This record gives sequence, C-alpha cells and structure tokens, in this order.
Amino acid sequence: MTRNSFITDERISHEGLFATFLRRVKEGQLGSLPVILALVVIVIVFQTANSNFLSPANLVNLSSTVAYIAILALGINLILLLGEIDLSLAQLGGLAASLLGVLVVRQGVNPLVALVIMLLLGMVVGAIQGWFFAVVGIPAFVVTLAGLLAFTGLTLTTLGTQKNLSMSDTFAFDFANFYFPAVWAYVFGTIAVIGFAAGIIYSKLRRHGEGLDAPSWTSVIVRIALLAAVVFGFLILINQDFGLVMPFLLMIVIAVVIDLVLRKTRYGRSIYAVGGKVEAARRAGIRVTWVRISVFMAAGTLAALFGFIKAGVTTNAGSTLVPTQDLLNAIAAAVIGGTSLFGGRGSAWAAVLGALVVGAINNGLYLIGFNSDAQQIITALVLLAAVVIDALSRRGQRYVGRG
Amino acid sequence: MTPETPEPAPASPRTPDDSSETVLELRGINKRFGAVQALTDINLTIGRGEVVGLVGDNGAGKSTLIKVIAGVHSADEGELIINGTAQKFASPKDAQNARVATVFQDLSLCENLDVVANLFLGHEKTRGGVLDEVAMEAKSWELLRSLSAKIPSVRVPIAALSGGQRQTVAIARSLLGEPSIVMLDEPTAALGVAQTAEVLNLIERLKERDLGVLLVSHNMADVQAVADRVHVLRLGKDAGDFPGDERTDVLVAAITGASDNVVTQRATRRGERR
Repeated sequence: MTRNSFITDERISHEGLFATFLRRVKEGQLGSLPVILALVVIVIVFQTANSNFLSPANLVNLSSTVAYIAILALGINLILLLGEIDLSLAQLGGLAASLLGVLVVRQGVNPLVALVIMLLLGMVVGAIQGWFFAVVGIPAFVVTLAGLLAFTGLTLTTLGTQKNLSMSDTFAFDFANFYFPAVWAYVFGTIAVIGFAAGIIYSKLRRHGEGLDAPSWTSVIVRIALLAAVVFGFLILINQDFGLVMPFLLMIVIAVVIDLVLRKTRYGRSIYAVGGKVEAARRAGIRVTWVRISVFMAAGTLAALFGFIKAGVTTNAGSTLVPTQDLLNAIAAAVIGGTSLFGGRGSAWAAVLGALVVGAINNGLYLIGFNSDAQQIITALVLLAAVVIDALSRRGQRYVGRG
Repeated sequence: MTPETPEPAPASPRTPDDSSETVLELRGINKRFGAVQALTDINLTIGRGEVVGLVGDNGAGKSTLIKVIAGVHSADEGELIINGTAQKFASPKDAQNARVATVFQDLSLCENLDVVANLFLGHEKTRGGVLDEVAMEAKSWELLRSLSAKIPSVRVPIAALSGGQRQTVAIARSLLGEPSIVMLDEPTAALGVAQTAEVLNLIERLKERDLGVLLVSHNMADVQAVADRVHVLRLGKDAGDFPGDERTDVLVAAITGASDNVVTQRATRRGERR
C-alpha cells in the first residue's frame, strides 16, 4: 500500500491516461514535453522541405551554433528563474571576447591566463550588477539596460582604433573546432546514458523502499531507451562527418551541472523559492541578497564563456561579434524551453531544448532559402507563442484542486 | 544552518524541560512604540493542550502581542515564560528555538514549489550534501496523515491548492519545528465554510497533540467553536478571560468596553424592526 492512499479526497476524480494528459496540458505541468514535440515537428517539416537538414554535415554545423546559443541561454535561464531579466548578458559576452582577443592576439598574454581573466570579468560584472539590483534595489531591467549600453561602448574602447579582430589560429579557434574521435564520442554517450539510468533506477528503488509512489519499470525502461536512442542516433549521424565538437560537449556538461544544482541542492531550491515568493524565502531563512547576487555572478560567467565559444566558432572577436538578436535568441530559447518569465518555474534543460528549437529554425529556414529577416520574424512568432503558453498555463494552474 | 532537521512532534512530546502544565505564561507585558502604549500589563496563560482565542478590535494590540511572543518585537517590561523557563527573545529564530511556532496571516508559502518543498523550505533534509527528496516526501505524508489533512498529492505546486489546503500546509510546516505552542494569526480569514471547518478540525488535532494554541481571529463563531478560553484585549489592556463557550454579546461588550455599544444598538434596532 502506498502512503498517499491513506489520504483520500472524494473531490479528486479518477481519470484515464488521456484525460490526465489533457488536464496536464492545460495546467502546464508537462515539463519538457511540449518543446520536445515542437522540436520533432520542426525536424520533420525541415527534413521534408530539404533533405540536407538531417545530413551529418548540417548537424555538425548546427551543433556548434546551438552550443553558444544554449550557453548564453543557460545564463539567462538562471536569471529568469529569479523572476528577473538581464539585458546585458550578450554584450557582456562580446566585451569579454574582445578583451580576450586583445590580450591574446595583440598583447601576447598566455591564452589560459587570458581565459581566466575573461571569465573573472564576467563574474565580477555579474556581481556588480547583482549588487545594484539586490542591495541598492534598482530594478534589474534598468541596471542591465545601463550595462548593455556601457558594455557596447567598453567593447569599442577595448578594441581601440582597429575594430576588427580575427581569432583564427588562436586557441579559442582550436578549442571551438576540436572534434572528438568517434570512439570518444561513443564513450561520452555511454557515460551519459549510464549516469541517467543509474540515477533514475536508484531513485525508483529508494522510493519503492520507502513506500512512496514510484514510476513503473516500463516507464523507467522506456525513458532510458528513448534517451539512448536519441544520444546514439545523433552520435552515429555526426560521426559520419567531423563528429562531436567540443562546444557541444561543454554545453551538455554545463547543463548537467546546473540541472543537478537546481534540482538536488539547497542552493538550487533557494533560487526557486526566491523566484516564487521573496518574502516566503526570507522568512524561511534563505539569504535572499546572496542568492540574487550569486545568480547574477553565475550568469555573467556563462555570458563570458558564450563570448569565448562564439569568438572561436566565428573566428571573430571584433565589434561585430554580438548582434542584438543574440540576446533575444537566448531569452527566446529559455522561454520556448518552458522557463517562465514570471519566475520560479523552469529547468536547465529548458535552455538547451529551447536553443535547439531556435537553432533548428534559423538553420532550417536558411537551408530552404529564407533570408535572415524572415528568420527573425519566425523566431519572434515562436517566442510569442511560447510566452502565451506560459501565461495561459499559469492561469490554468490556479484552477487545479480548488474546492 | 543546522544539518539535522527537527523531527515533527509525535502525539505528545514530553521532554524533561516541559513537565509543567503551562506552556506559555505572560506576566505584566508592556510594549511602547514612541508615544503609543501598545500593550499595558498583559497577563495570559496557555496550558498544555489548551486552545486560547485572542480577540479584540482593530488596534487592540493582538498583533503586537503575538509579535512579542514570536520574537519579532521584544517586550519593554514583563516576563515571558515558555515551558517554565523565563525567556528573552532577540529574534524570531530565538522564539523558534524555544519551540514557539507562528503561522502568519499572509501565508509564507512559495506558490511555485510543491508541498514537500514548502514544508521543508529552509530546513531541507540532505544526504551527502544532496537533497533527500525521498525522506522529505515520506515525512510529509506521515505528517499530513497524522493531521488527517486532505491534500491530493504532495507533489503538486501550492498554486494548485485551495485556501484551506494552503493553510493546512502552513500549519503543518510550523509543526516540523516540534513546537509546544502554535500561534495562528487569522487562519480562517478569506476561507469558505467547508475550508474553515477543515482548519478548525486541524486546530483540534493540534490540541490532541497536547500543544498550546493561541488563535487570533476576528471571527467570533470560529473562536467559540474551538477555543477552551477566550482572552479579550482592548486598547492594549486585558479586558477579560472568558470560557470558550461564552455568549457573543458578553464578548462583544468586553471587546468594545461597554454593554451599550454600536453592536448591541444594531442588534436592538433589528429586533425592534421585526
């Protein structure tokens, strides 16, 4: 007998699987399912329109682009979980990349030292903006808007009179274009699947041991099999071309770390609490100011990392590295993935899945011959749809269980 | 942060330090805010397993009094004796450590988090630095079951619960600190009839657990339904201690300070019209 069978409520109706599914759609309790379905639809549509879409070469190309969008989106995602917004992150990445380029290419500084400096720059700038927001009490929107303008100017100052800066033949280029041998890619894939399987089976056994509701073996095996199919299907395809690229692996590692911190630690729980209701978090003894500043610091560091990867992928660290739509693409990615703009709801994987959607749309439209104007309009429409779903599911949630 | 989360109280927690039958005793409490004498010589006792209603008009000092007991304000004069020990609270944390739990009117729950996360917010159980969701969920079911609470699932966000269910979660959460006194500030405000009844049932559960309960409410009917005694405050002073089933007009007279008050005048007018 499971524990919750002791507590029954005649108002809770027992419904079939399909009815449960429909209700959960309305209440926005589906987690990542809608974005995964959207991704499947997008892949089918573009593959039908242009058979090159799922070709190994295009997937390799797409994986580099998605990697830097997702790393920026992971940073913005953390800020959105707090219920705030950071408009400066993309420009901060551009500033950090320019600093890196100037240090390495023009000053001849050791590349690793320069990388540490640029990541520290991101963290410190995040701490300063976080301080203005959390301690001084200025809305994050205004602080980071000021940051956006300041970093644009600082980037030009850093670059000096020569606004172009090529990163080809630097370690940033080597890093962003490092392809793992096929065997390594399969080893990483196996580690990912085994890690996921171990976690989910351990959790099931422990829940069962404590007499709690546990997922059935069927659903456990189906989930592991699905993940394995996607991971190895993707790896087999890209290994026919250059293979697994470093930035993509880095993105996965960062997402796994952030996901574990958010779901499994007290710190992660406190981020959700602050994003949900600040006063409740404060009364529960959570150090709200520290949580806010630390999240801005983490986002700033991720923004710098985004600048590093993008500079390597595009071999550019000049003033044109970060156009305005990068920030919007990253915000769109987080929201499309299912992170709420209203704070407190979302996950690390939302940013990655959303970045896949945004990257796939841009790439697919390019393949079938749309120009970048059309790409922007369609990304905007997808973002709008995601925000509408977010708002509606919030409203739907309020009506659950009301007696 | 303390690594171990206090266990919720079993049916009757009896440790050596609370062998006395009085869980809370106030002697001559005075509190002044600038020119305003908010509380003057307040005396109040709550026994083990006793529900005391605290009533009074707006500005009578109810909120100030519970804030003094909860450690939000400190009293200027007077003694605060909890479980037989005189206490001076410098912060709400001190009060919690002395096993005084307070459930405030504006629910301090995060709507986006589920029931388990809210129950343990700020005191999560961990296992090797990682949240122990299984242990917390098992504990949540045990606690809610012991309160006969009607919660559909402990894994739904608070946003999906009714007002009564939320109040239940808030009260259950206060019990995780293993308190000997629970203070409830307007727990039935803004609740429907059935939900109010659920919360009143819950208060009786607290009484069965041998906890002292201080119930602050504007709703005379609710207080009369569950309270063993009713303590009336008026203009920051004690205005009488009545049995729980005291007649409403007597209580109203004590609250307003006159048998000829606006409430009785209204009642008389309505009587004449009939």
